[in-house]
Amino acid sequence: MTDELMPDDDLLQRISDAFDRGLPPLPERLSGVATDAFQWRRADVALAELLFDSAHEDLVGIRGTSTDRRSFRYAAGGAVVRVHLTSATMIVMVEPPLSVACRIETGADGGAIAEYRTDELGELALDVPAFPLRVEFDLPGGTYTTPWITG
Amino acid sequence: MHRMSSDQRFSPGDDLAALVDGALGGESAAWNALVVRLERVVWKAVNMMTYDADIRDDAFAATWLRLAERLDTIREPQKLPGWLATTATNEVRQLLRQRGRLPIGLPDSSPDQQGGGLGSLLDTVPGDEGDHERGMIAAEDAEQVRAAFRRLDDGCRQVITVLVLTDPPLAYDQASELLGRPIGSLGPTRKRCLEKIRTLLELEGDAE
Repeated sequence: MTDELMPDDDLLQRISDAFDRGLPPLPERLSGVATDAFQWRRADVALAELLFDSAHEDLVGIRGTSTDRRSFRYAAGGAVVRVHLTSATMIVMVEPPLSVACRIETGADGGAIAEYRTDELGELALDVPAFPLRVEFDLPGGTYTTPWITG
Repeated sequence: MHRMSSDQRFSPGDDLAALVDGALGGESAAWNALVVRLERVVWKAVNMMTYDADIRDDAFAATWLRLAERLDTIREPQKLPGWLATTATNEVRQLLRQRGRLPIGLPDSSPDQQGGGLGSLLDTVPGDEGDHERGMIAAEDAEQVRAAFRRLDDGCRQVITVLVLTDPPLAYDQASELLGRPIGSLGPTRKRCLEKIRTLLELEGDAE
């Protein structure tokens, strides 16, 4: 038995050909978006580790359901960061409770960065920014960023 | 001028490991070459997964953000096409659910109404009548295959899309990790999905 997921079926080739035949040209705008993604790379900032994403739970659940809320939990150094999103609001919580500087970056429309600070309970609430977005924190153990949240 | 000479150090045909290394070193020219080399893989993956243009475009963009974010975790640059294809299919599934859209989107049976959609892209009609007929038959077959593919659940579409686009193939353990599926389920899922589309194609053939 092979240890690779081998595309060894003629049917796969037929499917591939069918989509090659119908593939729309890649819009130049999207090529530009792919190129611009590199400017968002932050080699100097650690990536927080995703511990929980409510959407992953949805994927396991009922097919085709939609959610207007999404929750994430990340490990960032010795802290845990929670991000809750609704259609209108974004709530960020740092545990243990810490007042820390954080920056919310949005990649939409050329990108923007807004600076905030969590309160003494480690919380921050604001209108939900445009997607994709990520949150960068200056924690005692260093600066961490969440992975991109795309929607 | 300096930028020009820097750009010339990388081209899309370079070894993927060299391009990844260059991008990790901060060379935007290496990244640009990666995009030129692999953007079609991502584009095909998102188009196989959905005809919803908004989700398709957002998933395409998100896939490149993910690569920039996780470039230093790419252990085998040669398998980047598979990584990108899998990531792209994950992004589509994610966005479909998040936005409550139908998994597939619009059918492509009315090419004239679909603008830039898949269905609008029947091949250019050649001048020769024999070529024209062969072209029409091939176009009909392609549409039949796409129609059957549309009827698969998005899990099957994901597995088949990844299979189609991973060259070289992903190892089972990598595919398992990226797809979030148990390693032991991949072989049976692949078999089940291919059997399903084969049956759908036979049924469509019988119906004609």
